[in-house]
Amino acid sequence: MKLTSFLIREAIQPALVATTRDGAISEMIRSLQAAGKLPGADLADITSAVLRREQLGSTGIGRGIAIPHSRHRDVPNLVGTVALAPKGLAFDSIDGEPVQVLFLLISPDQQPGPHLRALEAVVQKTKDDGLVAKLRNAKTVDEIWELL
Amino acid sequence: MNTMALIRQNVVVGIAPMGLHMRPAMEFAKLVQAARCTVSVFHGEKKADGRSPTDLLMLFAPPGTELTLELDGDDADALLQPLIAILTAEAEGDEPRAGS
Repeated sequence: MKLTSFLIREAIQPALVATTRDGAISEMIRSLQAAGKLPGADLADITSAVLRREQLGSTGIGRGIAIPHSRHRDVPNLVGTVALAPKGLAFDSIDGEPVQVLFLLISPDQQPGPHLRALEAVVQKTKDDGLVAKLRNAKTVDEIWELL
Repeated sequence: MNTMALIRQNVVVGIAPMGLHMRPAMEFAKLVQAARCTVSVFHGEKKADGRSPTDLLMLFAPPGTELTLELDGDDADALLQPLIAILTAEAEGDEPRAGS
């Protein structure tokens, strides 16, 4: 599965305004809405679901990367976006390091397969330390999209 | 008393409906990181370092997938069952759904 098959270019944010984990997640969900990818969806409920998932265990997988995610009834197809936090966000990551690269995934409630494939695609891509370093330093949507 | 062992064990992934997704992968990796033995997880020809949640996610293991665990070294015996328990949980009440 290619990242570009579910990541929404129009929702990519090269520099999050939020300075907290919860704020960043909210901001990314709003960016998906602004891109028209969550029509009619209950944004507050989606946000709550993603945050509750973080409460169960951090999605900070280390090396400055986090993959906040959830499934939701209001989402007919898997959607996602990428955001950068150049100054780093505290995320209770597995390695204790702040997060600078975030991939948000929202999946349909009854389709676990694409969700797992999407996770695999993200970790496969970010396995490359060089790519992650370039992502961290990217300044524009075009740069980020090109890297992905 | 330390016990050293090389253990290989086949395991069929449960964790319905999503299989080995992020939360069990992180739980698995944390257990292995805290242990003294090394753990490798095989899915066919793919090999994952059990300490790495990203390696584990790249195995792509939905429910029903057969994995092989290989534990080598101190405390392998003690670690095996907790790792199997994570992988074979019948259902995972993981990501809270909307309205739950």
